[in-house]
Amino acid sequence: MANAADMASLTAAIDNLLDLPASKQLLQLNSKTCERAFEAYVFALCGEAVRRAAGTFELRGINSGPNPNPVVFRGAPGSMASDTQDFVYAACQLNQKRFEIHVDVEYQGSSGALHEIDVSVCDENHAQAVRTTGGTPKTAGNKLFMAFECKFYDSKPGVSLGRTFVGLISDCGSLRLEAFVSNIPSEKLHQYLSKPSRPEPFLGINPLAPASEERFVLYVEQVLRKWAPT
Amino acid sequence: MDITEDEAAQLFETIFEKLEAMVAQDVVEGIDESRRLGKEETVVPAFDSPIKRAELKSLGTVRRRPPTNVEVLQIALERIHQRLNVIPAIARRLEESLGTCDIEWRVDESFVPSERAQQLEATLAVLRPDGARDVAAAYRKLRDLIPKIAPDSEPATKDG
Repeated sequence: MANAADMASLTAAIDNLLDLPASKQLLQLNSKTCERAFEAYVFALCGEAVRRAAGTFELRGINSGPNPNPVVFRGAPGSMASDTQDFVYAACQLNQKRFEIHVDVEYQGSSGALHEIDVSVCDENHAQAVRTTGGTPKTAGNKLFMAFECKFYDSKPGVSLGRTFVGLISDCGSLRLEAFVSNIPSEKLHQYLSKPSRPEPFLGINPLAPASEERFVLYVEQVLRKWAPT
Repeated sequence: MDITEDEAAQLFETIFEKLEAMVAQDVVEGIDESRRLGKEETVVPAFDSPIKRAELKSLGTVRRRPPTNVEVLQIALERIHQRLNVIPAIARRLEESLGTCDIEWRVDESFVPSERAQQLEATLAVLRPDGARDVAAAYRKLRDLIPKIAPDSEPATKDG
């Protein structure tokens, strides 16, 4: 039990923290902004995995080409071919494989339905064809290699989003890696995703948890190395 | 220091009122949602009950209960930690990994009405506002008082 002085200290510490202008700014951010930032963070971690596997990872703007400035991510899911903004993607090469990493683009699943995939790794030729024709990338036929569902939770992670992603993946054909990545650990979600053939769970991934971050990068790196051997 | 259920309720009330006053809408909704989901716990059937043993064995072993006041306070502090410590850390990590601080989020305006676009567009600077260091220091002071309840804001070692 805290005494009156302890409670006064605690209340003062809460006031000091929450009254700071920067605290207010961060707490007032809408969830979508946090989610988009988290997706970009997972994109960057995938880039790290490519580099660690001794591959190349080059940022490209759909309009400006290599090394865009500024780097523009999608604020909402959209078409891979959209050039209304200089949306960024990563052009990668690892041994004989050339592929791209995208954030928040729509793919057409096996059923014909469109799916938004938070972070995706797809075949370079296929992506180029999409950009040239204004078409839609497909998940099947070895075009989509990896799909990551990224969630920055403001509430306790439940299993419902995991369930939705399991449904989405079932319409994507066979992928090299499907993963559910979240900022907060969740025993329930982990339990749900631990069954065979469900996406790999990476829960509690954030820069303040370097061990989890490392586990994610290492896992993606191993999948890449297995897929594109020297 | 250890705090009682009543003290936790009082502290939560202080935090919640402040969040509501500053219109931290999504954080408030996230806390409400977590309270609504409650806590799951494992239940062991009481075999001395009048129900048949086989019937007892067929029952589920997990049930939900409302969180205690201390758990509700933990939920609120976890959300605050994610916003005040994790988001700026993500911004720093992005800048470091992509090699630039000129990072923006924009929308395809042919699909998103301009009034909605403002909510979806952002720059890296909003995720790492001036004064983020003061926030980190103020958070640490709070955590030092209740280390068992407030999440750690310091990066752990790679070994965990």
